[in-house]
This record gives sequence, C-alpha cells and structure tokens, in this order.
Amino acid sequence: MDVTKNFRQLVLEAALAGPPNEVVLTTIALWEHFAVELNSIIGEGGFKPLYARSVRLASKQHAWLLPCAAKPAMGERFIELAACLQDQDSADAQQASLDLFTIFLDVLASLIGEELTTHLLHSAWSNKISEIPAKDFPK
Amino acid sequence: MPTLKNYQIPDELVHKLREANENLVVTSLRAQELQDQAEAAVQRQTEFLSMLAHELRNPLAPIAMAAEMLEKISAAHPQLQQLPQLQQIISRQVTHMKRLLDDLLDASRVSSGKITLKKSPLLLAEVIRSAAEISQPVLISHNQELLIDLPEQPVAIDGDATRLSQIFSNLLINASKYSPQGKSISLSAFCGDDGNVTVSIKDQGVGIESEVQAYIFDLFTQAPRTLDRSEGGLGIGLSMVRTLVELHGGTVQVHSAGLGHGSEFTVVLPQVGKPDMQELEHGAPALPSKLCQILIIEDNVDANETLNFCLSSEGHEVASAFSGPAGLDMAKKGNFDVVMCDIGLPGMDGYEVLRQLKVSDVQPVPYCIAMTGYDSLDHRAHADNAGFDSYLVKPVSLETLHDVVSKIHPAAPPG
Repeated sequence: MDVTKNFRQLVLEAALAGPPNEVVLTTIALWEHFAVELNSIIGEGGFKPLYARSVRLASKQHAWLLPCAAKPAMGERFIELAACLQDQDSADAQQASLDLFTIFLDVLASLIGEELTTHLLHSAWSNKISEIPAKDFPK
Repeated sequence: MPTLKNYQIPDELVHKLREANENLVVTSLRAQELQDQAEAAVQRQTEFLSMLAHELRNPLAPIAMAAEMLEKISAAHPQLQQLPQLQQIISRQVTHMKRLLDDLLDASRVSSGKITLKKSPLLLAEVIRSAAEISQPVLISHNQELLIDLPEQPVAIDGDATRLSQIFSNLLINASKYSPQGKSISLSAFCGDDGNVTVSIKDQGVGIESEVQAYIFDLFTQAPRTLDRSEGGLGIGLSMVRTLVELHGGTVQVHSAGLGHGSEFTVVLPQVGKPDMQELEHGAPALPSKLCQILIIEDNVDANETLNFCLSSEGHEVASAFSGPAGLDMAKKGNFDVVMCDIGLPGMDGYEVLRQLKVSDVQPVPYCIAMTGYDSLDHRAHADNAGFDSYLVKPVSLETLHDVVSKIHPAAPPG
C-alpha cells in the first residue's frame, strides 16, 4: 500500500471511529459532507454512478448492501444506505462503511488522481483529519 | 466568483469544467462496467471449458479401454483380419481426442491462473529426452529427423518434470507440424555466464509473419492456416508454453524472418547450482503383478463393465457396483484388496463412500483408488483427505491401471 493510500485508510479509520451506536449517523454525515465537496468538481451526474458502482462492488463482501445500489433521487440517496446499515449489528455496519468508503475513494482516485482525492478529504472531513499527527500526512 | 490564487475564474467556466468532469467520470465508469462484464464472460467461458473437457473425458474412458482390449482379442484370434486395423484407428483417434481434452483443460487453467508446479532439481538432458520421446510419433509421421545438441556437462534446473517436458514437446510438435516432410528440426542448448540456460528449437518450416509473432503466444491464437486445417490443434500449446516458462522464472521468444523462412523458439531458464547426481537419480523397479480381489464402484455402465472386463482378463477377481450406497455395502461385506471408486456417484459421492468405509471395521482395509475426470490440486487434496491411496484421471490407460494394481500386495488369506 503506498503512502497516499495509507493516509486515506488512516483518515477513514479515524473518521469512522466512535461509539458503536453512532456508526450509522457518523457514516451518513461523512457521506453528506464528502458528496458536497465532490459535487463541486464532478457534479451530481458524476457522483451518482460513482456511488452506485462503489456500492455494487462493496456488496460482493456485504451482500445486504445491494439494495442501496438502486439508489433513489438526489437528497434521499443516503436514506437507503442508512436503512441497510441500521439492520446490521454495529461491527458489521462499521466494517461495511469502511469497505464502501475505501472502494469509493479507490475508484475516485483512479479517475481524478490521488492528490485531488486527498485534498477533497481534507476539505470534507477537516475536523477528523485534525486528529491525525502531521507526520502521517503524505509528502 | 471562485478564485485560483490571484486569478478570478468566471462561474460559467467553472460550470463548464464541472460538466466536462461529469462526462469524463460517467464515461470512465461505463468503461469499467464493460470491462467487468467482459471479465465475467471470460470467467464463465473458462468454467465452461473446464466442465466440457471433464464431461468429454467420461465417454472417452470406456472407448479407450475397449480399444485396448480389441488389440488383445485380435492377437489371440488371427482370423479376425480387420480387427487390428480397426483397433488402431480407434486408439489413434482416442489418443488425439485425449490430447485435445488435455489442452482444453490446460487452457482453462491458464485463464484462471490455477497452474501450480511440483518443483525438484532436474537434469536438462532428462527433460529434453522426455520431450523428444513424446514428440517422436509426430516427427516419424512427418519423416523428420530431430538433431539434438546439448552441453557436455550436466545442466541442472529447478522445475516440474512433467511441465518442463510439456514446454519442449509442445515446441517440437509445433516445429514438426509446420515443417515439410523430410526436413530436420534442431534443438540446441548452451549455458550463459548469467546463470541461465538457453534452449533453442529451430525448424525449416513455413515461418511466421512478423505481425503474427507479436501475439503468437496468446491463447487460441494460430498462424493463418490452410482450409483443410491439416495442422490441427486449438491454439493453446504456445500460450501454455509461455505460461509454464514464466512460472519457472524464464522467458520464451520467437524469431522468424517471415513466411517460408522457418522459425526459432528460444527458451531461457535459470540454472541451479552443481547438480547432485544422486538426488537426480530416480525410478524404482516395478513390483511383480499379483492377483487381487477388486471392487469397481462406477455409475457409468459402459465404463464399469469395460474396466471389469479388462481387469478380469488379467486374472483378477472383479465385482461391480453402480452407486455409492451399493458400493459401500459391497466394500464393507467383501474381502477386497482394491476398491476403485468414481467420485461423482448417485446416492453418495466417492469421498463419502471412502469416509464411511474407513470408519467401518472392515478388514483388511482395501487399497482405494479414486477415478475421476477432474484433475486439479484441489480435487487431489480432497481425495487424499477422504482416504484414497491413489488418484487416477480418466481416461485411465490399461498400462496405468496395470502399473497401479501391480504395486498392490494383496492381503494374505486369513488362517
């Protein structure tokens, strides 16, 4: 795993860390923030298929995510994801959230590059990133 | 209005850039989806090839055995003048079909990356001798001579004897198929200072056009051929060669000056240190044949009866069962030295038959042979875990059968 990907993983784990009963809330809040940042670059029309593909790929590991791939219209997108996560125990929900974000960011980085992906993470989740030591940031 | 350092960027431009990005993302994702679909299709095709080859092997087994029995019958009855000829036709075609099926299975293994090597230190000369032996019938049929020039000092390589032999026999058979009658084929080897040994196979055949050379090692690729397809084959051999050479840490290249100028295939393999001649010696003398009590559990009636007929004619006492439960009952009751068991059986599969037989108090415990069309490490390991002592892949030749059974010492009668 390269430095940037390591960093992304670190950010994800820090962002998703929290009380088990808040996994769903945390996950949806992270998605909402990230979607706003990303939409400014690739638009809603770019975000939707990217999110749908990521859910489809993640459902190979977590089959119960599949209904989320048939996502509803803008604004309600993460309601489906929240419902799916809510039905699982917190450990499964947390692992699935982590896997889904990892896949999404991997696909995104392959499209727009590592640098811009990391920049978007900074902007979207700045409060979470502030907890990561400076030495861990990619040079 | 958005800014980039000291520059102001018009909203309209930002909007256009976002739209362009959106289109690029959608197009890229569509391409990724298409790639996924193509890979899934290839995977399905690979699984189909493997299944097809396995299914075709089943009817081939009794045909091959019946042909071998015909040979024996015709030797005993000289008045049946046409029989030897007919038997030879069947045997030749069975051998050809078996080779095609082996190629098909190899193709599915290449596609799925399921080839594993059983490596040990080997002498290059032994590998070449084995490859020459395998390709000899093809060379003879084309009236071609094979000229071999190997280094005087023993050259050792670390590899899988069967697969290395397959590399060179594939190349030799190819050279023969694409060369005119009577033209010689040369195989030479030399050791370089870099610790590698280079083996070159050169022919004076039809040659290969430069544009074909670029993809000649790809699966299902063949040079343009005549309408009669007299060269035969499925375009699997060279792909198999490249895969096997690379698995051995080597490289293979082709060179041809073009059509009509022959071809040269060069295989480079890493050498290992000074060969330990004692370690490289192998082969144990065959044990004399003993007569056994044998139980055949096989649901394919033709395969079961042919096998029964062949083994009975060797003097063994043979019984047949046509399902898993019936076979298990007979094995528990009978005083069998050998149980030959198919894996896919009605009522209970061969693994379960063996498991139940091994936990029963049957005495003496028979020598158990699995017979199946599946030839993979997974299936072999499964058979091993179930308690099988030997694993034979269909179609089993009479020679192989005789070899396996001859090494079994039947239990002495009680008393």
